[in-house]
Amino acid sequence: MTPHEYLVVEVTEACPHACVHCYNYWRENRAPVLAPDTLRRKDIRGLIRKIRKEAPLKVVALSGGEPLLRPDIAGICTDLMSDGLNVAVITSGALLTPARAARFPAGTTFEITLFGADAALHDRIVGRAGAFGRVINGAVSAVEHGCSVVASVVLNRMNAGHTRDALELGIALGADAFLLNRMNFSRLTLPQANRLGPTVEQLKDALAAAEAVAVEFEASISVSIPIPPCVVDPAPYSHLHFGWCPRGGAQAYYTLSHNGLLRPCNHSSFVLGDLREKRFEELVNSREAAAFWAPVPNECQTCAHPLRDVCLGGCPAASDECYGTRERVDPLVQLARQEAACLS
Amino acid sequence: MATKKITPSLSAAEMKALAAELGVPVKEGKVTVVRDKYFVTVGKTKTAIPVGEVIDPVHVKALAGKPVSVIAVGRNIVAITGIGWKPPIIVCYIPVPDFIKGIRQDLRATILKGMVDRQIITPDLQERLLAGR
Repeated sequence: MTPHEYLVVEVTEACPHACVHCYNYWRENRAPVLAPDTLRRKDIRGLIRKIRKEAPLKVVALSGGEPLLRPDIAGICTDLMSDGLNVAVITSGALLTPARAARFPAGTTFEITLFGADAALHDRIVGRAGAFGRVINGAVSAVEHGCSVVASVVLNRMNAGHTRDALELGIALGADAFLLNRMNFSRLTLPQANRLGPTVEQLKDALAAAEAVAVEFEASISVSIPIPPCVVDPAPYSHLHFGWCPRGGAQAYYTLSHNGLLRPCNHSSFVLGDLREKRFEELVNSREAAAFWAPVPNECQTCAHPLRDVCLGGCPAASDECYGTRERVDPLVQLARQEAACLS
Repeated sequence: MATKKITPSLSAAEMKALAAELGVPVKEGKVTVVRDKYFVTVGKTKTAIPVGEVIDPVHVKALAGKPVSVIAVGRNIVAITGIGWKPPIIVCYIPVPDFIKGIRQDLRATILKGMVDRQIITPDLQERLLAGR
């Protein structure tokens, strides 16, 4: 048995948006919604049942790409909820029409991404005109249908100053919890890091804004993409939940690709193996998995911060995607250093 | 997910080993509480202890007024005897059920009205949201 309770399933690589900060390694492909090797509805249910024989799975996040592009997504969701799992659909929300929402079981959680309350800004970030209006309507459709909404606010340099607006919009739209995630870097976004990545001051301001919202509204806000404490110390933001990479531990969220390949997490393109052929336990306890999670950057070994043993250098998948090694510290740290050098 | 395992604080031997690893001495300090804010004083230096998600204030409160062993590097407090820490919850992209706790409806209605006033949400959608809740 393994201890894992969470799983991400990327049901498709296709997406109608082109977010400037997107970390998906396939983002430049124009993937079809259903490729010849895409898992069908019954395959997904079968593979998750297979995992549950070896892990106490509780929550499955259906992601993509844009999961709502799949015509059978509500059916997939129904299957998993019928099997006793909590299901979260991670979506832009733009395709969540009342008719689509009505097909999902009540109680489904929709995690909808918000960038602020400014329509033009939102549309510019996602690269599609009119997206903001569709997202607002999508959230309303979810609430009307008795579903839970979680607002995921993704911060980049364009919208970091809009954090309070984004969280308040989430509250207005019926969100019951909030994720505040700074953009994570990939091979494709790193070259534009100085234009796209939030600055240290922006991050501090965004966290201060979120802290104020957490206090005023008793809102549950999770800062989940690691912000290494050498970039911003989390201590002043005591009402926010800071997340750190679980590095394969019990709270890891292994990720099932659209074609059945298992990866360490959604940020990584590293393939541990084919879940259709191998057992989940075999893959997550493999030498490859251990080797993936093990490296801690040298410079972090002598870190004196109290959070050293949970930070361990930030997001190893981002380092791997950007630099081809997990021995280097999170690219956000490098960006912060460059910024500090420029300021001095 | 809701239950957080508390990592025990370092023993005297572990403190000594950590101090040696960091190349700093273990010093004696005193924990104080001032209006729900927590501090540790070593010599003439008073440093705030960041209670909250990682360090449980209950543990710090129990140490108030007592002498403690402290490891500090520069202005950073690395370890204090008697204070354990709890690993924060990890949710990353997955909203786990324990984390979803809701917002007071009166506060939500006020914010919603503000969004309508700013013409970000239409009155029609406001009605649908209020009916859906």
